[in-house]
Amino acid sequence: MNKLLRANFTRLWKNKLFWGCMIFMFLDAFHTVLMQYLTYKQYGYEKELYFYDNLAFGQTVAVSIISAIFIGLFIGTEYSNGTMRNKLVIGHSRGAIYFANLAVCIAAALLLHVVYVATTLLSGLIMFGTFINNAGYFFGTLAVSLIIVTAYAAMFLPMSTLITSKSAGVTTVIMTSLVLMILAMVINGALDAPEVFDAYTIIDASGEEYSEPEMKNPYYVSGLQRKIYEALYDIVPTCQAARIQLDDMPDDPAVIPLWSSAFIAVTTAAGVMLFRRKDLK
Amino acid sequence: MSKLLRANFLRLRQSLSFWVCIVLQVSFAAILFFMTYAVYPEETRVFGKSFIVGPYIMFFLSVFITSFICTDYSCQTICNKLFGGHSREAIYFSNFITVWIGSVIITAAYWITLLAFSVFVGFEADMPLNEFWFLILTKIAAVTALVSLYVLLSELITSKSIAVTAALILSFICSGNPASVTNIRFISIFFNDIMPSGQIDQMILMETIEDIQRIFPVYSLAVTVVSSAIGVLIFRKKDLK
Repeated sequence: MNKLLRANFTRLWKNKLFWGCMIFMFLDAFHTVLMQYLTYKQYGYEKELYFYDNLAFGQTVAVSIISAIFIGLFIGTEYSNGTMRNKLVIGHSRGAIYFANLAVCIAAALLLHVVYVATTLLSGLIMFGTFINNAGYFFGTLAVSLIIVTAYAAMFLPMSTLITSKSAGVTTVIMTSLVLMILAMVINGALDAPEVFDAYTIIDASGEEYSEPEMKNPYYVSGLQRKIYEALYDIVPTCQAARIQLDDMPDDPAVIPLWSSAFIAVTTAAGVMLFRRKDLK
Repeated sequence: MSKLLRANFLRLRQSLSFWVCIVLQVSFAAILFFMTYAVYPEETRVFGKSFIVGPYIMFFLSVFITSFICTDYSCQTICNKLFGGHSREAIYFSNFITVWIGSVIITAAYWITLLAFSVFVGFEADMPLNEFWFLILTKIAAVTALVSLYVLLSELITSKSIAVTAALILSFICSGNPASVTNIRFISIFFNDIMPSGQIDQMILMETIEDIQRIFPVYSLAVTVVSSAIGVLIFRKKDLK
């Protein structure tokens, strides 16, 4: 497996797409901090309102789509270039090939995330003169976000490995990440919606009053549906990432890492099992 | 060109991505209908501004068009077409016409499903007929502009997987309102009014028909003409190996 890992990482360092994704994450992070700095310069007030610890995790959801693009194309190339066949012909087991690919995909996804976090912090240090406000909160959230990003790689790898057509594989992986991103937004919106809209009175410029009584929200999610939404909000990696971005962490901080770890174990076990049985022609 | 079109339509009928897009559009329409019906049953009778635009159309079309056109390269069909004596312009425009028709069918699948359901529960229009047709025209014009951009992309990138990825990224960036990152007026107008993605967004968010500018179809036509002209010019000189 050492040889497979060495070959995979050599391919990673030479991969233009990987460096393109890294540059994109760097520019995105720098742009985010710059925009915050320009707003701070325009309106003033306290620095902490513009440069806060959570800013570094502002793209944890978007890392899913960037890593999906990279993993889809990187793994798909193994089939289109015949690398997969060569690896098998020289005697590597399917399990070793899968785990070596998993290692390189996890490393790439983590590096993409770390580049964003590090660029945000360094740009903040240069522009705002501050680094990390609450070290305990920051490093705790960073550890959780790294597990979530690992879950992205563990989720996209089986899809890319099991679909031999490169274009079909990359389409499936990107569309899955998009659907999961939308799912995170929908679930967050549904769970955040109030059960009852408060009564209110508005007086317009002419002095006329408009009143609405207290009203039940017809779109409020309750019962079994709410329980399902809450479970998905805890389990699905993009939902977990949305919780970090929106600073909506569960009361028990262990919930997200535990579900992520279970998610990684299940997807990897399923991936290895299906890959072992796959007819590679 | 008629032979090229006949061959393309035969391929369209057998295209998996085309049928998957139609099934997804029909499913989205059905889900939207039943979700609305569960809360506001009286609103599902209304067929008008709320039902005119299908969401996520850009992603469906990007996958359908790039995979359809780039199959020409991956299967070497493009070389066969050229050896068969067809001009590059004829190949470009026959592909454009085929995927345009396919895209209009995919878009219409959403409307037809909603219309069928709303007729079933007692059809009611919430706008005059001329405004309704204006919205249909604007949406089809925006879809045409989208098609021209994706065809341009597909004809320039020969690798199917890279073309699909590039088209999906383009759709993702455009759906995220790129104009919001800057205050420059031209960029704001370009992305919000001229580009089809901005027009589709405005149609989804519109309160009344007045929110939709009458010039939108003209912008879409301009985008179609410019991108097709660029596409044909580059495709003519492209080294197809």
